[in-house]
Amino acid sequence: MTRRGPSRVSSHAHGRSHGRARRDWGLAAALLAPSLSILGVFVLYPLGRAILLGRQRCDPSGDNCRTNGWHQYVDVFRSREFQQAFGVTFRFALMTVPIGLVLGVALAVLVDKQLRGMGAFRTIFSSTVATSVAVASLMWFFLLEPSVGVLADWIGGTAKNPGLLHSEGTALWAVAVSSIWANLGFTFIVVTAGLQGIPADLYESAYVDGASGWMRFSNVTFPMLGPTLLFASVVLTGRAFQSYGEFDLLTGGGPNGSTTSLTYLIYGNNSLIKNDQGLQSASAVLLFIVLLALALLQIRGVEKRVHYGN
Amino acid sequence: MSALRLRITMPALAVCLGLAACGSGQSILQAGNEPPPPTTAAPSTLPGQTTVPTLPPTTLPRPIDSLPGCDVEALDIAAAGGPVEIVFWHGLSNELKRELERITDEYNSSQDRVRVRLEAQGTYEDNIDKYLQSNTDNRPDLVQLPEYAVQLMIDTESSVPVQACMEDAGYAAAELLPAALTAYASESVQWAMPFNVSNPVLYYNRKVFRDAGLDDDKPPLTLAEVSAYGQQIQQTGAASYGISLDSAPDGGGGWFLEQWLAKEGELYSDNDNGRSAPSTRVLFDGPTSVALLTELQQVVTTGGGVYVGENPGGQDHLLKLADATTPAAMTISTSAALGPVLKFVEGGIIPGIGVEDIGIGPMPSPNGAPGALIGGASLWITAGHGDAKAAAAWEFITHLVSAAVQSQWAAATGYVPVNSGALALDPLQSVYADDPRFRVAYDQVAQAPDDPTFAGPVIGPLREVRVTAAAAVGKILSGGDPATALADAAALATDLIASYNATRPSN
Amino acid sequence: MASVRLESICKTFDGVAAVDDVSLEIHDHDFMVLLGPSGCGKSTLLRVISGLEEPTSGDVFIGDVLVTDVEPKQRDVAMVFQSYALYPHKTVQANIEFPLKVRGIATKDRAARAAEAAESLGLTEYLHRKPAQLSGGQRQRVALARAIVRQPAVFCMDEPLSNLDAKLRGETRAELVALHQRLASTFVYVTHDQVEAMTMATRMAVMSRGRLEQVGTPAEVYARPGSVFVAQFIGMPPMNIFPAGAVEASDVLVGVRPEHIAVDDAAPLRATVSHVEQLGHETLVHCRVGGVNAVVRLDSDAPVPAAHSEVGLVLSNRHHFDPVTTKRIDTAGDR
Repeated sequence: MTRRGPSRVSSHAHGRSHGRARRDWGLAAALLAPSLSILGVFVLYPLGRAILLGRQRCDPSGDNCRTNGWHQYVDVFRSREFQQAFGVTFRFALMTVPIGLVLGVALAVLVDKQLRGMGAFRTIFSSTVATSVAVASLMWFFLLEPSVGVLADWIGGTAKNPGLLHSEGTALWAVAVSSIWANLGFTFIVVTAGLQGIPADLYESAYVDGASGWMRFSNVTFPMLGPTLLFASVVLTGRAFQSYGEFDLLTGGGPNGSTTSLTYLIYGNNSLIKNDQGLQSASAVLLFIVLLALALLQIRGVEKRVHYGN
Repeated sequence: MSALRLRITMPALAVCLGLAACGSGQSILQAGNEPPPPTTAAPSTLPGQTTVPTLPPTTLPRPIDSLPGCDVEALDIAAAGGPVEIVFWHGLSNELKRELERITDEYNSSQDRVRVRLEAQGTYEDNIDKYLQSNTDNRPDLVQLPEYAVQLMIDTESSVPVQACMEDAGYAAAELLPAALTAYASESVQWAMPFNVSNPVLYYNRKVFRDAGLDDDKPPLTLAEVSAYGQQIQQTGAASYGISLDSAPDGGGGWFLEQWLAKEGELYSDNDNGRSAPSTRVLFDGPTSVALLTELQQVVTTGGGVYVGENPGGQDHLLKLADATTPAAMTISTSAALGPVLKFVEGGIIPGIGVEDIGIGPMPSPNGAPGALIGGASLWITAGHGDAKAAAAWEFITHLVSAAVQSQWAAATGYVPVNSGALALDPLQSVYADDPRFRVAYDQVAQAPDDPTFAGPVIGPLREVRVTAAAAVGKILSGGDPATALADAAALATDLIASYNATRPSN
Repeated sequence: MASVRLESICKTFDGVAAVDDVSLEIHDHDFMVLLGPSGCGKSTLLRVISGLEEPTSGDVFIGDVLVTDVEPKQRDVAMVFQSYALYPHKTVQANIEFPLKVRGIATKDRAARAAEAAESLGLTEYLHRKPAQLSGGQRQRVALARAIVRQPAVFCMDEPLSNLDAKLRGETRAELVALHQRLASTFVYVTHDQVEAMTMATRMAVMSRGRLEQVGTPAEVYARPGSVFVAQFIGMPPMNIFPAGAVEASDVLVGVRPEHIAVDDAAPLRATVSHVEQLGHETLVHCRVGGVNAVVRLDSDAPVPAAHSEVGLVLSNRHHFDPVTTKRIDTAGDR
């Protein structure tokens, strides 16, 4: 382009960029259309419908509805059943997330060595990823079944009568154990990947400086795993709040509602609101809000403390 | 590290505190309802009842003319141009599903008027859910639904009552078991056709009975006998427990309570168990129920019984009989489990129990009255798909409940045949002759008196009501006060009914 | 403050020898540079000294103590890595303090010693920064500070300058020499860069293919290379090696550094100029002599011969090497 004076050049360029911007917008819209329409049809529209449905009470087929208004959300949130299910879900997350993280890190660190046979252990430890919740739950169900379960015989006491899954005091823990086991493979794989991203010379430097195994873990491994652990804890918390299969297959929300999680309240066969779509929608939207708030809290609260490497 | 922990726990604590402060103590069923009027309210509302206005009962009987009709001749015309295809949704799995497929294939190849396409929907619950969420066009022409869905189905106003087809075809229902038909009739309309029928029976270990010095041909009939047997079994050391009891909604907690109330001649809900008009409240908190559950509680506390919990997998009570260290000698379970139980035992995985050691007796009750309510599922014809489809569905129904098919079906599955003619036909005739255990459930149906109490309850949210009743039974069996537990459950159940009735289609 | 003695060290990885029978004496206060091309085993040797690798056979002594099977913790060595290996989540101060923390030294003493180490390397104002907020040179100095804060007997450094740009590398070389003099400690320094070796080492060990080629002061190694390999590895451009009979009537290899060849048209040794590189401060003349290529280095003020012209060459400071073993053959008068 020939230079004809600053003002003309700039005005010329300005006009061109305008035209290009308009063309770019058109192209962008065309390129975004497929994903936007999928997002709209499968996510945004159903979400909007669910939010509107949460203000209504309907007959089981959803044909005959009465709109109560937004205060139905407040009523649902404050209701006995929702509060109890929220408490159950919250305790479930408090049980599964920290224990799952600790075990996942422990297993990953244990096999993060270049030794013969470690590959076999790695395969075993990550195998629960390939196990569906249904299979894992059924396996634990039969291990814990008080009459024929191997674990029940082994543990004895409450495990035998009435059974860990049948006692109000232990049922949530028993479900949590099954869930921790089922999610361990995921945590293990994520943490193993995180470990492999830690430069070896950091360990060597600490080793030459005389750091013990524990000091190397607490000064190198743990802080360097920060982003990995944040990611895993956000995912695990989300999973804990959305766990359903475990509750459905292991306890059916019982005994006496002690394992009726929010998801089970919303969707379970033994739920009081099984056929009330309005209450189900309201509860589901509230669960969505709770999860959103929780994820923000986690990321905001921990991110500042996490080092993302350089 | 400590700062990190603080940052996580502080918001968590805040959430917890916030929750504790904002609970209303109200049931979720009240959500969205207007707050109750000031205290000047009329005293007519029952304790625990909601302020949702309940609808007045409909007139009795419901005129059959006001419901979708059935024209069986429409099939003759339509079939002239080729077979009429109908879609049939069912909720059966495994062997039951395979047997239904076999029967359907045989039917399809035996004639060229109707082609039935089976679609397995998973469980009954899945089937109900999918049916309810679909619109008319997406619904099947024929659907199999469990006994607790009757009122739910009536209120969808989406089916052709089989009575319309029976009348149009001049169908003679004489051979069908009256009790099975009554279970699917209400407001004087026969809504659906019973197909697979089961009821609870007593399973017991004959060997333990003999070891305890009991006559293994005389299972206990009353709860008092159950207790006495249990004590003797415990005292002789023949087994650790007498009877194992559960509190599953579709087992010992919900379904059995309905059975026991019927056997006691008590109604479960008002308006004749919902058969003369939709129920508005449950009645299972009366003195008979309290006495019944007090006695059941004593079976556990002093009668050698053992409570195995809510039984979410539906197997815990049966597996207790196979417990290697602390087994029970008896349990009550659906007759539909007999086939699978025998097959399981036949495999020899349970040491010390053979196929011949399994004894079957009638379901024990407080007074030992014979008879049982109908469980299982029935067939519903969908309206709005045209006369030909409805007529084709009807023709297939008549085939399924014919004596010949019911004989095969009952023999293969262990269900009670709905057609008494099936008993005179093989293979069922020889099955019942060879193994009388399979006949116990049939005899219970045949002995049931034709009476509203014995028709069992039809309630829109019966499934949810069962869950609340089951929770109460669970509390009682683990030592709770029967009167309180039943009153709480009844209040919640009545809330459920009120909340359901508030959104019922105007009728 | 200690000497290091290596006796017949071998180290094999999966049957491949990385270090092959190396014996080396590093004196107290030496700035010993291990020099060689990549893959020659110099880093492995350093890791054997620091204790990061256990030798397959042979012994390591620090001072007079046998440390072959001793953990690095007890060896009193500090190591500076090529990547610096700074803890990215710790501040500069915490990084420097780390070796003291590991040794259980009180917080107050740690801070004082870290401040001292930081001061000596000009890092005081960066103490509260994270490594990511520092430049490459600053990070390198943090790694040094972390090493010196322990006051170890031996410093091991694995190519610590290779991640710096050329200008900074030059400055840091001088700083390292000054640091070595100030600490009066033993340095073992690995590099592939002969300039670093020549400028910093008090003594150097040249390695090739896992074996030690020559040990000596930079001046010795330059003046009397022990083998053809050393002769060609040290010096830029490398020494010209003439096959037997090419430039003199003998049956040995003759090596002459480019700077030791003069151009004299009258000289009897004739060469054909291929091309000429004028670099400003010097001129490199590439030519063919007796059937081999040779490089002649001329001062910038010398007359430049034209390409393809024939010139005469005068060789001085000749080195002789055995044609079979390629080892140096000392003959009278070649100094």
